[in-house]
Amino acid sequence: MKHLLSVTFFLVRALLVLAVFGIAVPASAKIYLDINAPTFRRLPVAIQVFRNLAPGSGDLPLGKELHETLSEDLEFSGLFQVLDPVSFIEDPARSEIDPEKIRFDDWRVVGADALIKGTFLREGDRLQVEFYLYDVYLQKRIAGKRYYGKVGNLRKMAHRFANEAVRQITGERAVFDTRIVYLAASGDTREIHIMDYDGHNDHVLLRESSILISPRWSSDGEKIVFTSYRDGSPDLYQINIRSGEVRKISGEPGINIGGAYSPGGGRLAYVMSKDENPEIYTLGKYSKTPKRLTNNWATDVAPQWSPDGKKIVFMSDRAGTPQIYLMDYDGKNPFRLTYRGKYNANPDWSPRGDRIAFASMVNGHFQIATIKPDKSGMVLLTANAGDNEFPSWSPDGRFLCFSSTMDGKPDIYIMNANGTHLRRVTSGAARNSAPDWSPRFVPE
Amino acid sequence: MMKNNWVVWSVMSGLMFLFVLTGCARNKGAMKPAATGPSAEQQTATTATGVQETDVLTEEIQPIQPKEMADIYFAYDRFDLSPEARSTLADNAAWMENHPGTMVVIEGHCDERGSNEYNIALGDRRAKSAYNYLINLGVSSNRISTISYGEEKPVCSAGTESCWSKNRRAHFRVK
Repeated sequence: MKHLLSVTFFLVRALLVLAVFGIAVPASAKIYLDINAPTFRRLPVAIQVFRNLAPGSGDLPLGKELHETLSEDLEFSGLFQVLDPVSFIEDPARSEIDPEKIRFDDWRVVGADALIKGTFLREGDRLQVEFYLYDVYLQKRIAGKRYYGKVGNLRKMAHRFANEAVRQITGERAVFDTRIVYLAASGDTREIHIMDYDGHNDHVLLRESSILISPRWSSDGEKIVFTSYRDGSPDLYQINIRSGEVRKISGEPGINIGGAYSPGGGRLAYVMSKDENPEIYTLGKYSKTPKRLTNNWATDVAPQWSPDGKKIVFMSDRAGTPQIYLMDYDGKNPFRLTYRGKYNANPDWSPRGDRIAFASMVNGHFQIATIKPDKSGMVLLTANAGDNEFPSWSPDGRFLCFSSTMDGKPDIYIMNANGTHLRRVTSGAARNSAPDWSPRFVPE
Repeated sequence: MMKNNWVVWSVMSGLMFLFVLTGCARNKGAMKPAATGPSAEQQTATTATGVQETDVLTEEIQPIQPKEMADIYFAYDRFDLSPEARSTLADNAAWMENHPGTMVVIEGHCDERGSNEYNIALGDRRAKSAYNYLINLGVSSNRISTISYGEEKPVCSAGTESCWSKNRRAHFRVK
């Protein structure tokens, strides 16, 4: 019996789950975890201390940061349970990379199903890192990657391998190398910042003394579309991330706000009030004439696209209170999505298509909620005494970023799409708000 | 004789106008319209004595603080005009009539509750409510314009209803 138990390694467990639910498993797919299965349990992973190939060089902090970055990514993914290194039996100083020499029994007894090891070597401002992922039960190496680059790219290397580990285990592309754009306000200064998804590598993209609103990524990840009062009134602009070049997109009388590029970047949806009240328009990439999609006395704002580009979710008070609506990309078939609550705002459609996140006023405070596009299955993901606003999905639809005053001043937070693994990723004195999660940068 | 008087009157008035202009230009922070009507008469009379020109100049600098146009206030998430707001707008229209040549920007503002983008839209509608009402009262459309600041420029920052109600406003800024 004991022997039987010991061979129920995670691969078999996962295959059993798949078999029970009658899902065909292609022989070529190396999927260890079906993360959508109802019986899903997080995979215990041991991450050994990274070995410095030039001992005594004083580079131990580099190893520590690699370990921390990787651990935080995998833990935050919700797919892994990262084990506490205190329990490890293997002496890090004698850590072996070769699967033939690794004593996998030592890892099995600490409860690890998967094992990650690595080495690093710094030469001047250059860093070489090797990461390996092992299956503890099969006692074999699943993946190995070598990265070489500037020391400053250390976290990027760890993020990339975290992506690789998730891909090997689940077959899905993770988002650890993505970024978040947001607004930082202090005094009269407004800034657009870009940071890694976990809050590191934060930098200022644009600083103005005028009001800035709603920075959002273009679908190619190369531009940020935003509203600025730099010419005195709210006009729509975009800034090229690499060159810093700013271009005005729309400066019609009244307001020009809420720019959102369609998937693929062919169209821009936005709001203008040049025709009396705020209405939603789209502008084709090669067109100079915006097409008006809404036509009524209500306030229609905050358009966002469905992942297939066929529908637009937006905010309207046409029924008396601000609520979330859907319509076709050409404005046809408007459809009210939310009925609970007197104020529902900031919709964002999951890249998976299955849910729409928004901010829902509950007892005078905004909470993050999601709902299915058929208006069923509304769930609240936050329940705190602050205001939680501007939910934005990660490109894999597994996480949300949003801004919240739960700890006092507004800051940016990230969490799993089910509301777990909540993490604050900004700090400092500025009021940080309106985050937008980037698309993927590196096509694979 | 009558004709001569008229010429003197015109020249004096022209000089006074120049004085007023210079006074305004020197006092850049208070670019307000020159007083008209009775005060102009009075000025001419004083200068006719030929001794008190500087007094006139000082006087022109000092009192150019005409009564500001009052703000109007809105209910939460609304942009329709209350009876109080209509009454204030009538006063503001009268003010504009008494100050020909002034250009006014109507700023729409919101309290901090609600989404920023929606509030920019709401502020736009509040400003336009006031704009349309002033037009109906006979104010020329080329003297007024609108801008929305949404919730971005509160006058009161405590999270209380008394504070929020002060922020839900249309402000009339003389250009």
